Amino acid sequence: MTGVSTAGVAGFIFGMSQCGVVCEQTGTVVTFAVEACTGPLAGQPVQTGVGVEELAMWPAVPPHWVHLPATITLTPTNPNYDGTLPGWVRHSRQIVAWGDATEPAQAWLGHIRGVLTQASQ
Amino acid sequence: MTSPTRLSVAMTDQTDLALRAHLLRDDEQEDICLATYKPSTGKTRTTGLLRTVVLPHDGEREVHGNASFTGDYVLRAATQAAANGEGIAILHSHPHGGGWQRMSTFDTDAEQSYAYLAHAITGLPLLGLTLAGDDLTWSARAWNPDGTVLWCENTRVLGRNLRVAWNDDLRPRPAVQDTQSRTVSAWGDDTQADLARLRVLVVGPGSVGLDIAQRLAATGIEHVAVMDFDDVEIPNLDRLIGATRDDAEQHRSKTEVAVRLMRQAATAQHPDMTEHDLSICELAGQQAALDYDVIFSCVDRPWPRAVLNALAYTDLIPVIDGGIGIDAFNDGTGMRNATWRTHVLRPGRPCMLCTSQLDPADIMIDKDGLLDDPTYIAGAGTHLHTQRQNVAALAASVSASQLSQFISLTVAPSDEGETGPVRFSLTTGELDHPPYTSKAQCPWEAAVAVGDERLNLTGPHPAAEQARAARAARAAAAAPEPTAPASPAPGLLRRAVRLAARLLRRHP
Repeated sequence: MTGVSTAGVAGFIFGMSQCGVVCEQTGTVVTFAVEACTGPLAGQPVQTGVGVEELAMWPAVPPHWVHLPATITLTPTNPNYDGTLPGWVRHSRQIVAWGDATEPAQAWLGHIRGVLTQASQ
Repeated sequence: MTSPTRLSVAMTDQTDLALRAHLLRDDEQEDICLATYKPSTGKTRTTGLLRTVVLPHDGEREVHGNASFTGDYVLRAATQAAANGEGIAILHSHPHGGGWQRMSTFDTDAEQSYAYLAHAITGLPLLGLTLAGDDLTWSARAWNPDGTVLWCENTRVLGRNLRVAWNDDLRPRPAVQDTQSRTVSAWGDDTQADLARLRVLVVGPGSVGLDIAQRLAATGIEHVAVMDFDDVEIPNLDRLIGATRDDAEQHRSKTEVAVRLMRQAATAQHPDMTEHDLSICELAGQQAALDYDVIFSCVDRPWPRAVLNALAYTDLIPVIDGGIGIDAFNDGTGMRNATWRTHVLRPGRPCMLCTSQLDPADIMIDKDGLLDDPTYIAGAGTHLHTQRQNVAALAASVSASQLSQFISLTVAPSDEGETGPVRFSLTTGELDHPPYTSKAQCPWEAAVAVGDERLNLTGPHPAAEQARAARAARAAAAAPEPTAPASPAPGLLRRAVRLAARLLRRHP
C-alpha cells in the first residue's frame, strides 16, 4: 500500500507487467491488449483501457468502467463517452469477488476476459 | 509532529508486547530501545504511530540500574527510519513506576541530546516514551529540534481492548457527577475517568448513530462529536428518536439536532458536544476524524464505509461498525427476517472487505454518484442492490450491540476485550460469531500504522457540497434584510457631484 510499485496507476501498470501485459498511458486512459478466451472475439487481441482517475485507489478499490474501442459491440449497460479516448466507449461493468486474488492485476485481467466473451465486432 | 495543539502516540498490542518483552527485565533494571513511527495528522491532533521496534545490537546499550545507549545506535535507527519516511522514538522503562511518568534529569538529558540529530536525519521530531512496569502505562512526549519538549495528552494501545493512558496535566480527571452514580458503580472511578476523557466520533447520526451519540453523552463522555451533511427530513422521523417535525420543516441538519439531543442527555460537568457538517469522504472530514480515539461507523453507503474501514488500520483508531439487513418480501407485503451484526475494526480483526460487509467494487460507483443517479440505476441491471427498509424498533438492537462492543473495547470487563464480529438473526433468536479472519492479501492489514501515507480514498463529495450550499442559501434567505444606510440629502449629493467634477477638471 505504501510502495509506488503496488498502488495507484503505477501499481496497476506494474501488476499488469507481472502478468505479461504491457500497458500504455495515453492521456487519461491506460490501454492494453487482452485476448478473449471464448466468444466471437476468441483468440483476437482486443485493445481495452481503464481511466487513470479510477486507478487512484488501486488496488484497494477496483475500477468500474471498461473502456473499449467503439467498434467492439457489447450488451449496452450505461455506456458513455466520459473521459474516453477518441473513438472509444466506456461500459459499466461491475467486477465481482474483488480482493480474493493474490495479484489484483490478474483479477482485473480475468474480469476483462470475461467481459470480452460477450463482445463482438 | 508539527501539530497545532494536541499530541498522542498509538501502537498495536503486538508492538506493545514486543516492547514489553525487551524493556521489562527479570532483573528489574531499567532498559532502553528504539522504534520507528509515522505521523497521523488530524485537524487538531497529531499522533505518532509506532511501527518497527529497533532492538539494540551488542554494545549499543548498557544496563546498569539505569540504561544508556550509544550514538551509533540512534544513528542506525534514524537511518533505517529515514529510508522509510519514518521518525524515531526512544523508549525506556521505569520497572517500579505506575501511571503517567515524569522525566528525571537523566532521562531528559538523554532524550534532549538526540532531538536535533533525530530531526536532522528523519525530518521528524524525536519521540520519547516511558513504560511504567507496575501498570504497563505508557507516557510520551515529542522533542523539537531545539530541545524543547511537547507532552502528549495520551497514549493508546490498540488490541482486543483499547488501553488509553492520560496525561492528567493536559487532560485532568473529570469530577464524577451526582448524575453518574449508577454508571460509576458499574466500573469504578478510575475507569470512569479514563472513559470520560475519550474523544468519540459518531459518523452518521441516523437511526442508530443518533441513539449511540445520546447514550455516550449520558454515560459521561466529555467529548462526543457527530459527523453528517444531511438534513432531517419527514421520512426520517420514524427512526430519528428525538427529532421533531419542526426540525424537518426547518431543514435542520442532523448534526445540529444530534448536538441538541446530546446536550440534553449529557451528564459530564463540562460536556463538549461537537458537530462536523462534513462527509467522512471529504478530506476535511477524514482529517477531523483523525482527532478521535474511537469512531462509530453508522453509515450504510460503500464509500464512507470504505474510508472508515481504512482508518482503523492505517491510523489505529478503532472503528465500531454495525448494520441491519431487513429481508422483506419483494412485493412489500411482508417480512422474512432481519439480521444485524456489529464488529470492531482494528489490526488483527478482519476488515469490512474480509468479512464481505463491503464490496470494493461498489466504492467506485458510489464515489461517482451513480447510486443517486436514477438513469444509471435503471440501466444497471441486477448488480445494484439498494435496500431502504429500516425500523426504529430494530435499530435500537444495532445501537445496543455497537455500544456493547464499545464497552468491551474500552472497559474490558474481566480483562476481556471486544468479542469479534457478532451477528443476530431475528427469526431464530440466535447470536453467532461468524468465523471471519483477515485474508492473506488484505490491503489494510498490509497498511497498519502508515498514517499520513495512507491510500487516499477521499475526494470531493458533491452531495455534501450541495447539502451545505442549500442550507447556506436557506439561512441567507431567512436572514433579515440589512438596514440600508441613510441616503444623503439630495442637495448634499448634488453639491458633492459638483465638487468632484471641479476636482477632475483641475486634476484630469
